[in-house]
Amino acid sequence: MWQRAVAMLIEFELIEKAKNGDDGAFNQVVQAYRKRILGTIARLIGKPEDVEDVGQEVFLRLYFSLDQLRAAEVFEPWLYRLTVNAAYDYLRRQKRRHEHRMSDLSEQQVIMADASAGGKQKAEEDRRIKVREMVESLLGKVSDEDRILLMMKEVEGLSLKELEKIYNVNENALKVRLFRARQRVLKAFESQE
Amino acid sequence: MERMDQDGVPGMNGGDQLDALFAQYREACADREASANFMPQLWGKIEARRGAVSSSWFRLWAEVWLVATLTLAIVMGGLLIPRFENPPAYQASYVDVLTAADSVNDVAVLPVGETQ
Repeated sequence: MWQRAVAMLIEFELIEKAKNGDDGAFNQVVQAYRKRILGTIARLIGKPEDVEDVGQEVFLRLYFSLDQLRAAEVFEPWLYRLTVNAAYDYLRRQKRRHEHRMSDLSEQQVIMADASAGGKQKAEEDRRIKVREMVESLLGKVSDEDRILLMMKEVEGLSLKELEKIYNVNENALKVRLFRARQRVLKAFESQE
Repeated sequence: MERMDQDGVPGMNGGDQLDALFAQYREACADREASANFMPQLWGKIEARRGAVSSSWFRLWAEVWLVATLTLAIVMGGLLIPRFENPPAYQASYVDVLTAADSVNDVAVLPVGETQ
């Protein structure tokens, strides 16, 4: 199974500086992590147009909660927890506003298809859109909590140990939850054959 | 819905196919660069939240002082109002008291013979 190569993108010292109110250091932290976090958010929420908004919310929460960080060593799980929470809040808000309309997706597909120039590029973009659409449809079979957990494990490639730190839940509970969520998605996947 | 590229791959069970689909999804939603507005907008939001936090602190302090002032006023009122309501033990005015005291002193300094 695919696993993400874990590497801290910044020095602990920089985190300590940011924690002590150094705005310049905080700026560097954001610049180091924004690409990774925006990618994670894009995969978690599946709505490219809202990714930056949710990303800003993550770093905003980071800015105002950094003083509660116990040690620089746990910075990454902390940041991922903020990301997971912001993505979850976003998905809940979307559900409340009933914005999960298929028409949005179609419109977005048209815009993206128009934007891509050339036949080969267009074909590649079409394939990507189909993949996204299919995964979106499968993830619709599980709760928002399980969707995010499954994404963090299967797509982001986080280990159970990392997920344990992020969720503050023991490994066995996570395994059970992941197994059930995966089974549900797998069942939906097989029924589409 | 149409199946993806992994269709028909011999020896791939549902689980493997799902893993392959997740891998394709990861590729389809690769990490992305932020737009040029990302950082300015983020700092704008931080400043706005900072302002909101400091004004809410100010409001909180103002409320605390208001409550403290009202409490003090009520306590003072509770202590002082009963005193004003009770009639004073001595009804005479200050001038009356002085006059009375003076007349006693006058009597005390007069020579004994003149008192007659």
